Amino acid sequence: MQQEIFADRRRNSMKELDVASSIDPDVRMIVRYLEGDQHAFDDIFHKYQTYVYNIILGIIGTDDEARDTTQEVFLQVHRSLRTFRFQSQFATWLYRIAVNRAMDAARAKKRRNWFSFEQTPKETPSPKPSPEEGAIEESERKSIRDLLAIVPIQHRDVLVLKYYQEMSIEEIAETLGCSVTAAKVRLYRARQYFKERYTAIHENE
Amino acid sequence: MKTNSSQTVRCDLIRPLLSSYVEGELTDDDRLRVEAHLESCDACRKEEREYRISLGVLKNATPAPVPENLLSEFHSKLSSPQSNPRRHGFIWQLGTVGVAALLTIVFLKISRRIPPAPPTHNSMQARNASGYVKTNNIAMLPIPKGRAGHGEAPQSQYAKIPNPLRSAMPIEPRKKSGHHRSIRVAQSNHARRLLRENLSALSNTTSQKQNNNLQISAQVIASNLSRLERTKLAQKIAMLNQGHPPFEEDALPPVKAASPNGPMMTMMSEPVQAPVSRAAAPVSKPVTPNPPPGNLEEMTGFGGGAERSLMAEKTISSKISPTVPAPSMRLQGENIQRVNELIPSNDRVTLLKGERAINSSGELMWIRVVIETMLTPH
Repeated sequence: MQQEIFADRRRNSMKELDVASSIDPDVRMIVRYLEGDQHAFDDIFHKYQTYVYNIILGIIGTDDEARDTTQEVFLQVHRSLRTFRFQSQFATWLYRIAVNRAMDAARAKKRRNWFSFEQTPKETPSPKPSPEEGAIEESERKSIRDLLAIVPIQHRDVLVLKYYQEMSIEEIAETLGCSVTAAKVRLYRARQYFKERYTAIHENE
Repeated sequence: MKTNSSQTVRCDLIRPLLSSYVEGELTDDDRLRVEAHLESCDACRKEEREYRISLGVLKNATPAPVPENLLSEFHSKLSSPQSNPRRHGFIWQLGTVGVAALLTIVFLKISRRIPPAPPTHNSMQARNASGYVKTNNIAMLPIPKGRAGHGEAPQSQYAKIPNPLRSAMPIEPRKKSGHHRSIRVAQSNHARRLLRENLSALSNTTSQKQNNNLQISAQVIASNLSRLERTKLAQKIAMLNQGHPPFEEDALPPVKAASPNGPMMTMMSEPVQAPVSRAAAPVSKPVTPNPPPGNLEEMTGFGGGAERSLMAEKTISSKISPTVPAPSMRLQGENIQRVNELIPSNDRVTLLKGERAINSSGELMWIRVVIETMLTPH
């Protein structure tokens, strides 16, 4: 009796998965991968590598570590994809892993810098660039990494999700694993901090 | 003035909404409120413009290009056995070493303070002969193996023996003295052992610290000890009180008199301490200081006598000269618990006071342990 119930449930979930895979390309790729198609994971990798890399780069701020962390994120996804329950969007799940890994790496980097005797180059731009430099920068669009480098680590995740991934506040809350209210508060503080820092740096331009 | 104050309040209310206003996230009501305020407030308008510029730059930020060979490197990492390297930072290594060092220090401290565990009851004779009681650390009372807390049934074979003197013995009025150490232990094999150990330690301490004018006075009232035990203890205390030089363990001179019928015995010298008893302690009265008659050579030693049926209450006080250095360490609850573990569950023992002083050289100068026993009817 119990086995029949489980079998029913499995059949139903497979039906739901079939329906979902017909609609959502991510689910389709995952189903392909779960069915043994190894190229399916490469498709997932290709689709999301830019997003994941830029989220991580925005939070960590250095190319090499962002590269390593991106690979670690995809390794973790590769290991745990079989346990993915399809209860949330795959992208949300992936970005959550990316943000958590990136925050861990950024904190570890901060600790290493704290105990290191080496003089690490300052990530933040010089407070008062010359007018020439300002004019050049004004004409160029800045990278997300350079912009987020002026705010502390704890503000970067919410900003990168909002302004790079263009997530709604609900998606941000889901990705960060907090309530919508908490996400709003974090976003408000991060925006305020970014505005103050950015204004202070570019005051004389 | 009124306008300025209301303007300030309104700015405080409006400014938290400005970033959301710039991003178009406000409800219509809030948006209208903000717009109405911005028309009249330069400061908020300036801040709104700053938000618009900075967040606009953030919105137009360009993504960085993905490094080349990211996928191929991923594949090579995937095939390598260690695909999940764990980094252990310097702080963790430092923390591990620190914790290990701390544990070592704590272990060494504890191992220096706790005397070796006593043997079982059956080997009392052997213990006595082997000089087991040669500890001078009364504060850390040893716990015999296999003893549990209050909930366990009394293991002493003497615990259930009725005590005819419990309600018959009035407490002797005693003088108060400024510095005294006392031990009051009663009615159990464990209690007797405690007393014996502590007495021995006190005597050792005293004999070692003659220069500090340390004296011991003692009162032994009644006893469930053997005759030999009573005699030995009383005599030892009396001799110490009279300034007897250090004597070896179990090398007491023979006692002439030991009364087999006298259940109570008191040996006193000045100063004598007032009893520290909060519980329903047995009432006792002092009896003759003369030791009961008996032949020591016929006795078998500690724990070997037949007369153990009576409650024992002993107070041993030692006086200390005021010149002894002051630093002391109070016994805390753990030791009270340990003392209680030594006593059968129908005797509740409370460690009232416990101190020891250590001089500047780290030597133990004096010890004070006060144990109060509440005897419960058997």
